[in-house]
Amino acid sequence: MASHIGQVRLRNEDCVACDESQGLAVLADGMGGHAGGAEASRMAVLTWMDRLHAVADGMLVEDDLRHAAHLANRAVFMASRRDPGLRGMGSTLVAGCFRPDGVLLVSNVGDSRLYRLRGDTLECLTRDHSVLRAQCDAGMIESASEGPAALRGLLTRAIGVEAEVVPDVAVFALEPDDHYLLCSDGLTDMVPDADIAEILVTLGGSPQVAAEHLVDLANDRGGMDNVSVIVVSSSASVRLGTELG
Amino acid sequence: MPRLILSMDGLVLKEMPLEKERTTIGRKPNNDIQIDNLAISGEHAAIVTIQNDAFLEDLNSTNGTYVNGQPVKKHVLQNNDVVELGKYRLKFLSEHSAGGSEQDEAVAFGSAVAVDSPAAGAPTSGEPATVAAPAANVVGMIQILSGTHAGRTLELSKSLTTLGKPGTQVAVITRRPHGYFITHVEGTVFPVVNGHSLDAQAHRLNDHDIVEIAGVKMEFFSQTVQQ
Repeated sequence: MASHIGQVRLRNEDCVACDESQGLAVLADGMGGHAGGAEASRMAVLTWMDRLHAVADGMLVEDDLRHAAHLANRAVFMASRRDPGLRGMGSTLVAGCFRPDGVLLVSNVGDSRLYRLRGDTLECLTRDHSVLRAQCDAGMIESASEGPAALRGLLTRAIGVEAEVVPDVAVFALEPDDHYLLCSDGLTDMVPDADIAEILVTLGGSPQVAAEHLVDLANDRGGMDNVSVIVVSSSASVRLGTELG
Repeated sequence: MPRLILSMDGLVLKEMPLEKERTTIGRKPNNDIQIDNLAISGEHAAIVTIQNDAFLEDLNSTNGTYVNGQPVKKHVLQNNDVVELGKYRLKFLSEHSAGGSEQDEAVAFGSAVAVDSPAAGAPTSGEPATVAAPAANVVGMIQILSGTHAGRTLELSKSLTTLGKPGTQVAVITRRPHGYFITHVEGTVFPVVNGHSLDAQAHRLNDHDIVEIAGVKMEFFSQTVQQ
């Protein structure tokens, strides 16, 4: 798949990395302490990417993503045990592997998300590992966005907090005109899905422009958190509102 | 002489006059401003100073160069602009730091994104006080001045309006709380505003700006809509 990738990262605690040749995109949103959050997300992304680069030959499979998340978890966990200044740090991780045979592998830990826009339909392909999401699943609250603000951002799984982590890994089929978005909660807390969909529908074919607009929108809405997005497009078509003659 | 104030985590590290015509910033020791940090590329950015004008250029750095929270490739520095490289900040002060110019609004907006993280303390208000935000009943309009649609008027009521010719040149006009902005989307030719070609950055539209996209000229203006 010829993918086009646009990425924007604002502020320190998030980290993103993309490799267009291998079709890899990964985003992490760090948390904890002064330097901790930034260090955790950076280590998570670098370790994850290094591991999958090491699987140079052959098609990446689900176990490769599980193993990469495991190594990222181990790296962050060990560092936080070694260095008192980094104690308690952790990170989310969301990643996509866009395989040339039209298969998408998605992996996530925490509340950073991967969305797919197909046609005009925006769908979140990941499931947040958050307290609000769990309460929602248990029927305690109507929707995760209605839960008490104090619980926002409280995760049930994260990279680097415990010795082991179980990432979610899922497999999807890519279609030619799909657009994909990886983002931290700095975006989804501020920008409703309908607005995300509008930007991806209109500008998805121009991923860098789309990524910048998404971050602008989060900031315009008063976003104070880290905002990072990666937009991956399999087609370069921009939907035109007004054609100039 | 314009100058830069280098800081990290709110701590001022040093103040440097922009003495040279070209000042380079990067991790390697041959830079004029060396920042020894892994998040900074070997050759990260450069500032070209011509008299009191300073042009910032990102030298394809890995982690990017931000001005007032927005990623930039090339940027004309305005007084009080905050350049961010990794965790480091460089505040640009021009010789005449009187302020009160129209550029101040860009700075005021920038302050909304200059907070590192919520943990860094009480966030300053993101409200750009000096910015005249478009009231709900003010809407931007485009009147097409040339080409086959000359005379036609478009209302920019949506948050995003794309304009252009597919495959040739496409631009998008976005409606934001502090005004309308035009951004290049695709094509080798960039939009022209009042005779000046834009770069990849979003550009704020002012009333009666003449915009040229895909060879078609048009005028931007705002209009009060009766509710």
